[in-house]
Amino acid sequence: VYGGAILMLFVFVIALLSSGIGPFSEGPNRLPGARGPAAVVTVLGFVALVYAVLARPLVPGTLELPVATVGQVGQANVFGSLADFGTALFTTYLLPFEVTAFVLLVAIIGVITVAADAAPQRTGHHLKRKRSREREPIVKTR
Amino acid sequence: MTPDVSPYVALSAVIFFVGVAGVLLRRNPLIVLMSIELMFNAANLVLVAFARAWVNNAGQIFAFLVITVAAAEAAIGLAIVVAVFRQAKNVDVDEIAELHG
Repeated sequence: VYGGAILMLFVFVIALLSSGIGPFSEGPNRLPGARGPAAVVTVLGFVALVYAVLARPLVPGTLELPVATVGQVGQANVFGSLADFGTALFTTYLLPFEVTAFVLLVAIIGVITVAADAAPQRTGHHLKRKRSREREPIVKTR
Repeated sequence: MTPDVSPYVALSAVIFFVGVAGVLLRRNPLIVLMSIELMFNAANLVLVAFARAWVNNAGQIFAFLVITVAAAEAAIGLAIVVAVFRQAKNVDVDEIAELHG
């Protein structure tokens, strides 16, 4: 599902870049007035994050890290294996998994509502034209 | 042997703020969506890195759920972009102000 969605996003970008028709307004592809504030926000946020990480270093001994038993790649029934992940997904975290399915359902319905209802007449016209274009060669061969 | 998570955290911070800069600076909504995906995946990287450091499945499961939500978000964002483009013939996050009060 994720691959499909992201693939569609990139296909849109490539189609826009190669079409040459400018659906976007002229000028550089940046917000002209927002560059200063945005740079300030970005740099300040980055500094704040680095400070938050560095200000409270993990004191050794306060956190009882379990001795990692990370298995080799492909090994079964250890941490990180597919069986381990699947078992946790379908037992401990079953409810979030089901909620995820519901979220996807809502997304599908919402996308169809927003994107397909915006121009129903144009899409119908487009389909009609396509059908007539498909019929043309048959007539010509006769 | 606990793997060191600090390189992953550093890389994730850099990726996340590249995404923040993209969202704030770009005016093409598709680029903005891609930047949002960048931020999602930076968070996923940290989740998976810490799940491996603390031998705990929860981070991996949560990253999985985040991926699903990100897919739904990308689909809805694309649908909104398509709808706005049909209405206005001009997609620019700075000039779409029809909902402005």
